[in-house]
Amino acid sequence: MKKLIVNSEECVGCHLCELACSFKHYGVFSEELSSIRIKSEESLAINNTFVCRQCEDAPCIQVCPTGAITKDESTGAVKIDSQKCIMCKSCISVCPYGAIFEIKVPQTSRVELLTCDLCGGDPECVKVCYRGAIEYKDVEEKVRGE
Amino acid sequence: MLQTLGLNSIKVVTVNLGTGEVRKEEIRDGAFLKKYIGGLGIATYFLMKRYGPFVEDSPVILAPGLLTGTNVPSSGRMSVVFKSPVTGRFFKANVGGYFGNQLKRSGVDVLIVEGKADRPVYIYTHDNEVEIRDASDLWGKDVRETNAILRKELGDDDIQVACIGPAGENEVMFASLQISIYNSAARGGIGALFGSKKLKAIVARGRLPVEVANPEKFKETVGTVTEKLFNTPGVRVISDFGTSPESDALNLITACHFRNFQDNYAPEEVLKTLTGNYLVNSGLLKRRIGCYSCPIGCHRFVTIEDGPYKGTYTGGPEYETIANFGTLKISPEAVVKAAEMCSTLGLDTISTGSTIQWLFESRQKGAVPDEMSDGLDLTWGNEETVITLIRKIAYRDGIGRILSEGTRKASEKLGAGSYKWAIQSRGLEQSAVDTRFAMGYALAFAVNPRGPDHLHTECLAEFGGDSESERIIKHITGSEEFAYAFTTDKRAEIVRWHEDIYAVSDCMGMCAFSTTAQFWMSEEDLAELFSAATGIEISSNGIMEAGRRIITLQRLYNVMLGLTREDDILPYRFMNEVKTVTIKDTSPIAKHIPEKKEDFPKIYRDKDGTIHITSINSKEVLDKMKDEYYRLHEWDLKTGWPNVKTLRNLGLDEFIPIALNNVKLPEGGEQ
Repeated sequence: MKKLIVNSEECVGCHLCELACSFKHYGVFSEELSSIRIKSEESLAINNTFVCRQCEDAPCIQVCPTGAITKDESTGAVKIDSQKCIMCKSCISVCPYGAIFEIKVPQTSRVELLTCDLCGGDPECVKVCYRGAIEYKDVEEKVRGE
Repeated sequence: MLQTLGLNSIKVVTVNLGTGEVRKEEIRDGAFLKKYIGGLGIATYFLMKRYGPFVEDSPVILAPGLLTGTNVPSSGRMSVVFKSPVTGRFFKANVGGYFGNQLKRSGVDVLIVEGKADRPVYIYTHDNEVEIRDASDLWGKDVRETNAILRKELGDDDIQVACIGPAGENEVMFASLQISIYNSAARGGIGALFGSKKLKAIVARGRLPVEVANPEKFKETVGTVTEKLFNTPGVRVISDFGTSPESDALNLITACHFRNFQDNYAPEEVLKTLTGNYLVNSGLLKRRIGCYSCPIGCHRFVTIEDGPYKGTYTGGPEYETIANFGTLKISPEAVVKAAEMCSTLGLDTISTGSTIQWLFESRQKGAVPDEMSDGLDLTWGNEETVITLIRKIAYRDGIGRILSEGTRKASEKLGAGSYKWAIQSRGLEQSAVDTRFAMGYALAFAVNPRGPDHLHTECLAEFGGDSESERIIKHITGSEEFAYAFTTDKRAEIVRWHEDIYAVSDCMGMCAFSTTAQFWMSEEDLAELFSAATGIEISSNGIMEAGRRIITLQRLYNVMLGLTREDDILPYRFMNEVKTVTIKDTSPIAKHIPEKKEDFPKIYRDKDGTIHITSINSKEVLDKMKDEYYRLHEWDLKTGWPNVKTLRNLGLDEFIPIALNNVKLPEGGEQ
C-alpha cells in the first residue's frame, strides 16, 4: 500500500503542501485547516512534518470509544466520522506522530478533528513539492527508486 | 464563527507611535484595486497621497502582496515603502520569508506606522487586533536574540518577527529590517528609519483563512503556473545552487567585479569560490530555504564546523553578499561569517560590502591617513579587518562612524577624490553588476527611483544565452537578436517592460524569479490570477498599465523632490572609466555579438576567436537610452518629468494639482 514518505532534509519550508491541502478540503488557504503540518525552526532551517502515517495497528482507532475512526480499505487512510466523534480527543493524545488536528471549520461555528485522507489516493501535497520532499509511494517502490 | 479573508477589500491599519492611536479602515473599491493592484502599488499610493514627498518624518508602510497567503507559488513577498533617509527619495524595500503571510492573515493588508515613540516599542498584530508594546528589554539585542525573546515573551513559536538589530538602533544609513533572522528588507536605510522611531520590531501572528473570489478559475490558473515552474530549467538551477551562478556564468555576464570594480575578473582561484556550486560542493550548504509558498528554495542555509569561524550558521549567502564580500579577496568562510553578522546586526550586505570595498581602495590609493584607520590593516584580503569593520559600522565605532553614513557621505568626508571610486549614485551603493557590459542594466539602474540597484527591473534576459531569455526578448522587441547586452539598441523597451512587470509582481507578492530572471509567469497569468482572486476582471494590458502607473507615481514623488534628467546617472567609475572584457566565441552569449565594431562599444576578435569588448556608461551612452526611455513613457525629454497629459492618461489626475504647485510639469502631447 502506498504511503506519504517525507524527507525533511529536502523540505525548504515553503508550506505549499499545507495550502494545497486546505484548498482541496475546505476551499480556503490556511495551515490551520491542513492535515499535513510543517513546523519550521527558522534559525536552523529545520522543517518538521506532521502527517498521518497510517499505522498498521493504529492507536487512534483502538482508543476511539465510539468507533468513529476507521481505515479506508482501498487507500489505507485513517478516516474520522465527525457524526460519531464525541470530541474526547483521546486520539490526539495517543497519536505518536502528532498527526490529528482540532480545527475550526470556516464560515461555521463547528469544531472537528482532522487527519490526512490521502485525497482518496491522489494527494495534492505531493504535486506541489518541487524538491520531492513528499512522495506518495509504496516503500518497496521507493527503495527501488521508481 | 471562523471568519475568512477575502482578497477584494483592503484592510489598512495606521499606528501612530507618537500618540499611541491605532486607526482601522477598510477599502472596498474595485476600481481602486484595479489601479493599484495590492502590495507595492497601494503602499506607493498611500505614501504619496497621505504623506507626500515633503514629509519630514517618513512613515513606514508594510504591504504583503495581493496573492500572499494563497497557493500561488512564490507569492509570499511583502513590500516596505518609505521616504529613504539615505537617498531622501521614494524607496521600496521588498522581502520574502513568512512575515507577509502572517501580517495579512492577522487582518492587515497595509500597515502604516507613523510618528516616533519616546521609548523603545514593538507592534503586535494578531487576530484583527493591533497593539503597541514596550520593547525596553529588546533594545540593544541582536536579531537572533530579539526573535528568541519575543517567542518566549509571547509564548508562541509560530509568531513572525520583523525587527532591527543594533545597526538600526544606531541609525546606520544602510541598516536593514530583518524578517525572522535571515530574510532582509535590506536597502534604503529602512532599519535606520525604524531606529529613529524607536520601533524595534513588528510581530505578526495570522490565522485567518484566505479565500479567493473564483476558486475554480483560481485552481486552474495556479495549476498552469505551477506546471510552468516545474518545467523551467533555470528554476532547477537556482533551487540546486541558489542565486550565485557557476563561475562561467559569472564571467559570461561580467557581473563579477573584483576589488571594487577595479579589476575585470576575480582570479580563477577566487572566482570558483564565489559560485553557488562552491557552497554545495564544499559542504557549507546544509539545507535550502524557501519563502512562504515558494517551493524553489533558492535561499541557502550554511554552517561552518571548523576553522576560525567554527560555529557560524546563517541563511544565505546570496549572490549579492558573495559578490560584495568575496571580491574583497577574503575566504568563502569569512564571507559566510560576514553574512551571519549582517543578519544578526541588521545590515544590508550590498552597502556594507561596497562601503568596505571603497575604504580598502581608498587605503590602496593612499587616501586614508594612519590615524583614521583605528590601527586596522586595510589591505585587500585581510578578513579580520572585514569582520571588525562590520561590527564598527553597526555600532558606529571609530572609523565605523564615517562608514555608517554610506559611501556618498563618507567620500565627501574623506575627500582626496574618493568619490571617484564610491560605487554609488544618489546615495545608494550599486548592486554587483558591471553595467558597462549590460546596457539594459545601465539604463535600469540610472532611472531606478531607488538608485542603481537590480530590484526594480532585473532585466537578466538581455544577456541571452538560453532559449528562455531569447523568448522574453523576442516577446518584448520582436526579435531574439536583441538578447545581447552590449548594445544600447532596444534597451529602453526591454527596461520598460521589465519595470512594469516587476512593479506588478511586487503588488501581487510575486518573487522576481517568477516574471523576471526566471519566466514561468506571464502578464496573462498575472491578469488571470488577479481576476480569479478578486472577482474583478483585468486584462494583461491592464496589468502592465498598472505597473506603469505605479512607476510614474514613484517618479512623480521624486520629481517633486527635485529629481531631473541629470539625476538619472550611474556611479562615477562606470561613467568615466573605460573597461575591456573578453568572451570566448564558444560562449552561449556570443551568438549575437557582431564580428567587429569600430564605434561603441568597440568589439574585435583575436585570431583564436576570443572577443574583446571595450565599453563605458558615458553620459552620451546613457543619454541616448534615456531619450528613448522617456519617449516610451511619454515623459518630457528635456527634464525627464512626466507630462501632465501622461499623468491624466494613467488616471493619476488626483496628483496633478499638488504636483503643479511644486514643479512646472510640461503639458505634453506635442513631442
